[in-house]
Amino acid sequence: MLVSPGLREKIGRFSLTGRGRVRSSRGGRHLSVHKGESIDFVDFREYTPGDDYRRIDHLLWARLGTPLIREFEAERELSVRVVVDRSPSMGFHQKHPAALGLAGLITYLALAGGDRVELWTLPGQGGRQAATRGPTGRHLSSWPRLEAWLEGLGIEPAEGTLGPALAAVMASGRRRYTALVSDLLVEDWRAGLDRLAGSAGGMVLHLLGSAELDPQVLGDVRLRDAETGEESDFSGTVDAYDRYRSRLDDLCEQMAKRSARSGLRYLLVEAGPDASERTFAGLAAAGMVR
Amino acid sequence: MSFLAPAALGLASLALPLIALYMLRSRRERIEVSSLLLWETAADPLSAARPWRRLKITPLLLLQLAVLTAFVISLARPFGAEEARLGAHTVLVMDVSGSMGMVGRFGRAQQEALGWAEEMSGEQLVSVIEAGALPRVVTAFSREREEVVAAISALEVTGGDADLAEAIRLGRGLATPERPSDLVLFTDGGEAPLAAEPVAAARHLPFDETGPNWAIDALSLDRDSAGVIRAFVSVANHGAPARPVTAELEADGKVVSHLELSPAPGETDRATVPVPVGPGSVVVARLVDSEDSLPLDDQAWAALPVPTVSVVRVEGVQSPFLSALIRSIPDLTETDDPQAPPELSVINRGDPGEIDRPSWLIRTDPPPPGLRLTGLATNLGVTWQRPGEPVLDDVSLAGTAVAEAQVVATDLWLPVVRSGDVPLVLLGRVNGHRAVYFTFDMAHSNLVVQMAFPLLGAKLLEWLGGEAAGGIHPSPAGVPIPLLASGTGMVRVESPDGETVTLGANVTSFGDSGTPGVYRVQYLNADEQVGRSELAIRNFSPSESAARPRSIAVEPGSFISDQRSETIREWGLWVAALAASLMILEWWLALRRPKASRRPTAGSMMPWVTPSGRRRA
Repeated sequence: MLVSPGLREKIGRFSLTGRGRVRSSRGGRHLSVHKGESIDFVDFREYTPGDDYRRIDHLLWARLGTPLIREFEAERELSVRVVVDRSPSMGFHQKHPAALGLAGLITYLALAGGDRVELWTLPGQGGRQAATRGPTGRHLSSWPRLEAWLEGLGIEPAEGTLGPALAAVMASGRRRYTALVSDLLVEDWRAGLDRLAGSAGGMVLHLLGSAELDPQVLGDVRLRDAETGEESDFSGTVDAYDRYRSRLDDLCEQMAKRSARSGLRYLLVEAGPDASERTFAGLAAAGMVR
Repeated sequence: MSFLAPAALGLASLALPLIALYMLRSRRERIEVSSLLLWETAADPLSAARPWRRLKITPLLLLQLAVLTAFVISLARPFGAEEARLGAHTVLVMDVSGSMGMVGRFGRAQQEALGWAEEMSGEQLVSVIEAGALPRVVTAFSREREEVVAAISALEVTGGDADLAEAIRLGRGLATPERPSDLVLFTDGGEAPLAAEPVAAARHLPFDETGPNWAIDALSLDRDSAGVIRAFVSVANHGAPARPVTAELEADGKVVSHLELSPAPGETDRATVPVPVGPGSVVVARLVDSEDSLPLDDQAWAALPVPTVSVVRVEGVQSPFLSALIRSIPDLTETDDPQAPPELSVINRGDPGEIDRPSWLIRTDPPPPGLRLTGLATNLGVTWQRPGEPVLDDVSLAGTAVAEAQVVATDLWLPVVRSGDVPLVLLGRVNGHRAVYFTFDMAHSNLVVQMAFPLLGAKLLEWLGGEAAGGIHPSPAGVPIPLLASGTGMVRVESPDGETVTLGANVTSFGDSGTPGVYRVQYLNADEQVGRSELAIRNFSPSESAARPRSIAVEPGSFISDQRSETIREWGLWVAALAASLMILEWWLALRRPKASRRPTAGSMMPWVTPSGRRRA
């Protein structure tokens, strides 16, 4: 169970807030670029043949002598894309189950808000594709199906590359709300985040394990990259740990800025059993849900 | 900087393997991590094709190189050349005679000697000789600066003379052909020129501070014709202004009289005054308002002898010379009453029997306990008298000849007169009583016709009879206090400063008598109870009171150290200490545990960054 019943009950009343107006043609809770049938008045315009005559403001017609039509906001659904990283680096420090939990959290929030959800995973199935598209859903009735698909995801033993993978994701449609759950521990993380530019808002949930945020004392060891197989010698001196922490600070700072440049908001999440609860609290505090 | 062992600098090449170790890739435990992205700046990337890596200059490497450098330098024995006064072996002769007590002299001499000791670098040997009445080697052939400094610092001025000639002879005795010695004489020069002057291989550092000085140069207690005890006090003026000074007389802790004396500069003034004291009392005379430059000679001590023995019996062969001798001494009477036990026995030849009183034994057969007869010697002449022995004061036996004498061996008796190695007169103790033993028959010698015989006999009888006041005649400080070896118990000597020394039963003299004052000698019996107690008085030597400085002539150019202008001082130990300190610092840096973790943000969240790049709290 990716989202606990308690958390589902808590987040069921919330929905994601997108950036700007949506272009979807299907009804929903988000303001659209089109005029529509909501009760929120927007403007008047002259009547043209074919307009719904029930919208003619008769009082203004009598006073001005010209028939005018009242226009209202249109509410459309938000198309949400949830992208889950399952590269080998996500197999460390409980990041993979936490990533599935976060993906489930975002999916449930979107479904509860009446939005359309589209699941993606990268790298693709068997490592042959950069990204694989999963199931979609429009209502909470589709939650079990989407949850089951997420739960079935395992670590893909292929070298992860964010740039091509997210390019493939974005090729399916640009103006969508994108939520990326990843540790971003690949060389082309900048290219990947740049590919997300043009999304209709979204977030980058940067998931790191506690041992990555606060490395244990290792001594003199040889480190091997789980994805690339490259090796480095590390001498556990105080200076070396200081340099590590400085590098981590710097990376997180750069990732946050890069995400913002692509129109996404950045949240660093420490992997753990309560990662979903902490993330929801962070989303609420930041106004990302309401 | 120069090096004594420059070849050790070659060890600096060890830096190359040290650096190589930093460049070589070592086998390490392999740990798989999610990504090397986070470790980019903290770890060194490896290339499988190269067994080495790029050298990174780290603080640890620099410290290890510094440690290596310091150790190499210390092994190379760096040194600096310095002007030095010390030679290969320098003997510091410290004059501790009374005249060095003149204000400023001994303190400056001590400081000067300490200055010489401070120049020791571990290469030079230094010996220290205390030049007192009985010169002694305080420390010999020391390379330890602390030991020499402690030896010099422990020296104190005495009230006696300095036998500088003997001190120089002692110093010369410390030299060997391979290790010639320099003598440095820290002295005011003493009273008279030395026989060894000009002194070779010596340097005299004069200490000539002078000042006004009054001194009590004589104090004695005598009974006048009316039977009244009178104290005789003599005060000398050594360069002090002509003004009255007051001498206070204290008997057994109570002030009993004051005397006002006015010695002219360079002169003495004397006076006598009755003092209410009895036998065995100790009288102290001190100048109360002198405030001069030599305080040590402002006090003198004297004691009143207890009454001596009055009844003497001559046993064995009767001798008219002995009877005449006894009759010539006013306090003695001779008795021949066998029922009246005498207080003192004179046993002339024959069997001494059980000795139960002070006895003068003359060639008895067998000799008394403690003496072992080994043979006979004939045609002997006196060649040696024990110096400073009170019973031989003013007694010269130079012309005495002996036709035949016993040859005795002893560890308990004290020979005071000898002919070569043959003892002629010995002092000792038998059954706790004083005893004198003549190894020759007076009838077979010319002693009885010598002018010294009555004086010698009187002194011997006085000594035998005056056990309670034995040795009470004042002597100059530093003169050893003769002890009577009883062979049965220890001897305890209490010095004027309250210090008590316990000596073995066979010790025949106590030499540490440089401090003026009253010494109490207690003879302990076998169960450590005090058997007999005696007093010995050592007064400031009058010849030291003048304290006139004098230059000791030395042979110019013979001081060995003058032939070298400089000496070396090694720094290797300091550099090694620096290396050790750097090593400790290196260990501390290497083994230091990382600081507490510092996460990117508190909790698990990074601040949200808005699309415009502005952070939100």
